[in-house]
Amino acid sequence: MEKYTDVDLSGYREAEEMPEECPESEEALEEISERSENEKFTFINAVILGVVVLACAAYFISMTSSKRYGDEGNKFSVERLTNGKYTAEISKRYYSSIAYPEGIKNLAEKLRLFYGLTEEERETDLTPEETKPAEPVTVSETTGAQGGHQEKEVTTAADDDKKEDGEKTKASSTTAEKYSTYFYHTTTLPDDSDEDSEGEETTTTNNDKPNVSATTTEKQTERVTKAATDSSEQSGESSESGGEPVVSDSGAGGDSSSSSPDQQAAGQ
Amino acid sequence: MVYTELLFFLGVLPVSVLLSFLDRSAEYKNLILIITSAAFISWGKPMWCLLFFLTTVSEYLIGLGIGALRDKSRPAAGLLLFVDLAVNIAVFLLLAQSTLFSEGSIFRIKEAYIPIGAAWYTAKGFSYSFDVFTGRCKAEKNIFCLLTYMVSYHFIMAGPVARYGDIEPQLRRRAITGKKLSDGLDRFIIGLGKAVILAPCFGKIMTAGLEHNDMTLAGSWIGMLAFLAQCWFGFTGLCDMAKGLGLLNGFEYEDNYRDLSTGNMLGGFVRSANTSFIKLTEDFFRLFTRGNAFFGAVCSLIGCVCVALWYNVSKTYAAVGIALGTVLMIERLIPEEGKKRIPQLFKIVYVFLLGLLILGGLRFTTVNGYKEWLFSLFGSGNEYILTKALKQVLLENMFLVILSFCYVCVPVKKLISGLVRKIEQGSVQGLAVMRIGRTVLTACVLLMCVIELAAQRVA
Repeated sequence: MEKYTDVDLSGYREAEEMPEECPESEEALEEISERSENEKFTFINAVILGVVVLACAAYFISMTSSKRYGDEGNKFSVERLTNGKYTAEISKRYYSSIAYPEGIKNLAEKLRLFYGLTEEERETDLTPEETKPAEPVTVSETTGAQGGHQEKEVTTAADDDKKEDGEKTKASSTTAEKYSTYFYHTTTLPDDSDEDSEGEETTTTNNDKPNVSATTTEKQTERVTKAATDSSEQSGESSESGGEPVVSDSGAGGDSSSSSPDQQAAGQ
Repeated sequence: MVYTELLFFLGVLPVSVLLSFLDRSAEYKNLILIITSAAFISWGKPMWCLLFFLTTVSEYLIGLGIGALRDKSRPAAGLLLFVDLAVNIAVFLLLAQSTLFSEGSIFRIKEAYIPIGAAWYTAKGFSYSFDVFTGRCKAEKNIFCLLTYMVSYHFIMAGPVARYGDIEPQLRRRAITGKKLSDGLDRFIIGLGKAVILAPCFGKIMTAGLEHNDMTLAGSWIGMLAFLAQCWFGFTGLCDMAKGLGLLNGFEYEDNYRDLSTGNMLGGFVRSANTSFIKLTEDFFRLFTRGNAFFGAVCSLIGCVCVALWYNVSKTYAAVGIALGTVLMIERLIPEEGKKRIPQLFKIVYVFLLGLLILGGLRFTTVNGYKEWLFSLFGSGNEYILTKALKQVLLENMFLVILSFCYVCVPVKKLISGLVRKIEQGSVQGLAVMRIGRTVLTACVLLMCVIELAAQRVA
């Protein structure tokens, strides 16, 4: 009596042999490995950024003290919470407790140097040019087709103080923002009517247009002559050369960080 | 409170995310979100400003009403939808545009009392009722879910007008995974960098170029481009932060902007920012056009004006909205085949010039100011070409400007990202260098933003 049945293995015998390494499995393995690599770096990314955020948070919170000023602290009450005073006080204390304020300000200033070409670098580039006396603009230049180049100091200020002729004007305001404008003229015509062109320092504090006119050139890009002058150099020569007076521009806004050393000199 | 406040992203945000980990249930996470969002909205303001949460109740009831009437009586459901629209417009005018009311008016609310993100709040509220009306989602029976959707802080500021139908499953079930945390932190920090470093940089350039009594040729062009770049980076920065915050809380939703493109003329260019809100207005006006091309074009004009006024109810914005809408209307009337035949270079020049001329109007409050700039743009009335202030600011921020250009210019961006991908796929070492490098760069951006914000505070 047979208790077992025959198993037909002919189908298996005829089947193709499985290769030792099939491309599909290799692809799958590669994908899994790539995914695990990616996940590993995702994890590292999350951990590093999370730690930085938490470290910064802990630093700022640790600096905040509720009794920093010797007062009774920010007392909690429903009334203070509902009228917003409680949370406003938390903000106030949080921001006023920032440690090393000068250090942070200096650090921020230093970081801004990475955003572009720094003041120092440009200063060294421009110093030889700027310290040069202003080139007088000759008649041929002013009337010809060649582009000139003038510098105009514009100091934005909230109040303008007109001083006597020949006396340097200082425009000051707490919110004053300084501009030093660096104009690229197409051509420049000397203004004979300019009464400041007698060797006196030319400073004005109004918003009048500068005593230089410009006309259209035939070849605008042919030549741009650099004649950078700072305000302290805007003496008789610069006036003769069509140099621009110091102008206080009360209407303009701007960023104080854009003031250059020569502007600061003009402001002092 | 705003996203770029130290107290928010180094205080409220970590607390909110860490508390969310304490329990896996979505209900608990929603509760934490509601509490922290209430703090976010009312921080430093009287708590009564949270009363605007009460409009959630009206949304809830109107939504239920629309849901019940939608199949039985379409006009009645439509009427309810218009009631909802009226309620949201009233809340919008009262809270987001309170300055429209005169000084002594009872509707004039002090700036310090106005809750943050009121405009986005009302847009989201209307989008929910509208989606129930159109059948995109069912009326929500759980007010707790609707409240989470309405008040969550990551939806509040310049985030996308995430539609309830897309968000609803995540309100009921979501997980905060390691990948979401990583992507969320990345996205948030990139947005923070845009808003804290790039946008102010372009603000400085814009100031030096435009805010000057003597307008110059280069100043007019560069200043206005900087103004648009400032708006773009400020807006996309907020969108990125909102998206990142969403990911940190386990939510995934669509972006509110996309790469600038000129393929679809000025219309495509405009739609590349604030995509979700524009889509909402388009969907709304599609109810009336019923496939009619001409009415569709007219609705583009109306939609443009609505979006502009939603940003700011003022003559300037209305004028820009009308100008932009008119161009978009004309573009819509041009057959698609005709548009495809236009050379790409022409499209780029067309979009660049027209976009600059129309959107540049947002910068001015008077017609004279705009006219002066316009003349200056084409060399009229310019005595000079370039100011020293502008040159100086450009040099001081040169690397940021180059970086921004690479980010905004799509071909350059694609080239760089293609190169990075190639290196990453080349070898494991390449992948490691790129990924670790990106992490280090992101951490540096975060630290720079923290220092910058702290310096602003102590200054």
